[in-house]
Amino acid sequence: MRSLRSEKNIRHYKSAPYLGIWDFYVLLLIIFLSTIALKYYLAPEEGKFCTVYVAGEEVLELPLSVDTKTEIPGTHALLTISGGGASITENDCPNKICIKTGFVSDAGGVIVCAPNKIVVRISGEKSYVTGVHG
Amino acid sequence: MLYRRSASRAYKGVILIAFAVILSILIPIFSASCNARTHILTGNAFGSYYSVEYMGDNRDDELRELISALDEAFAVNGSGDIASINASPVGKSVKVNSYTFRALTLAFEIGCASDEAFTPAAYPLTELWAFAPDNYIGAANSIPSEESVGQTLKTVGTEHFALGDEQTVTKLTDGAGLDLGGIGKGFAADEVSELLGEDLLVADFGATFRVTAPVKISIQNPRGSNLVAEATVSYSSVATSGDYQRFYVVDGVRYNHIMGRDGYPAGHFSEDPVISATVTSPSAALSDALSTAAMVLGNSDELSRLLEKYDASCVLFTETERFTVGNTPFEFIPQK
Repeated sequence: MRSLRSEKNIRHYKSAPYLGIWDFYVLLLIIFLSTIALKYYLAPEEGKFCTVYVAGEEVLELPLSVDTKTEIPGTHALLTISGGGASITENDCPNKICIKTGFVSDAGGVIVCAPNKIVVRISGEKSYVTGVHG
Repeated sequence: MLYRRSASRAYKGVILIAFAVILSILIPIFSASCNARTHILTGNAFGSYYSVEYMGDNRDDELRELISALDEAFAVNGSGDIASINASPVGKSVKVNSYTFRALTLAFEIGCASDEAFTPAAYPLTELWAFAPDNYIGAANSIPSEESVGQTLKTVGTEHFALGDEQTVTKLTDGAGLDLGGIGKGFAADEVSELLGEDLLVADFGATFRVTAPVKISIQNPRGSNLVAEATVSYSSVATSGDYQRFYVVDGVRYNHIMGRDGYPAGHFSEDPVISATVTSPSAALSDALSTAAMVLGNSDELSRLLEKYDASCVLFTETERFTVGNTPFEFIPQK
């Protein structure tokens, strides 16, 4: 303990610069890695199912993994599932906002057609509901 | 010299840390993309829909064949086993396939154990009360007379049928009829589970579930569209019976399709009848049949003894109250 703070022991700290080239490299690496990590962790969850509601009633639940085209029951809208995303590709509504929304594939994504009261919701997990059917 | 050595040590440390960080980012990405392929088979059977999710090789054709064979055998109309038994005269043995025979054996056993609270032999009442597939229209002007209910009740019960050794079923009383509606969907889910084994994820037959993978299942509000309870279950089954799908109203009174032991719809003479019963048990056929029994028995000692016998549990809803019987995995969702 007695000689720890002697001039001889701390001489090289005094001669070294405050920040060396390696400090700079380490800083760069940390910034680089945290940018990658953030991008990965903040990426939206991929949707797995799409649920279609007409006037608040659930009418369809389809997996996004199977490409298909189907008319939404009770409407003249055509739901197209392709490449893991869903979109409304035909509809008789006046403004066609739902069609312009295009393909939605992230969990939480929504396509709305206000005139025909259609809501298409993308979810990451299937919801199982027990009840009486038929 | 000292300075140089510490710098090279720092350099090695950074490489190690960088390597670890890169690995920790890449491993989840690769493991997610290497998941085994999941199949989803959907269709219609037992007057409702079905959906089977499973992993491994594609076995859609095999499953479709099994399900349509069960659907045909259990239908009360057509030329399947149950329709043949119902159409056959008293005393004539009808040879049925192994599915029908096993389903009937189990249904008769639960019928006995529940003292006919669940029974596969109440079809004459179902027809009398106009809940059969060919006479149910969702409305009625009048209900059957007390006399006709009493007369029909004499033909109801498993004692009016005999199961023979070589997969034969014999009707013993004229007018008696079988109906596997209360157990068929669950039985099908069990057969699918038997066929697929560990590859099965979820078999859903008209909201009667048999699951292997852990999934969250919610109970629908019997008087609304929101969810009232939920549970995460695996290697289990869940089935619900209720008064809110097949029913009609006459003079302000609701009559539902589940027949009580007195020949009237379940809960008809109860002040606060059960309107939804959800049963969890190891087998879907059991859950299916026991949920019907729970509608008939209500929150009673008889029900808790029955559930205990089959290692099952139950969530019951009446108009005003809710009960759990046994060790149910369901938890009520707080309502706003």
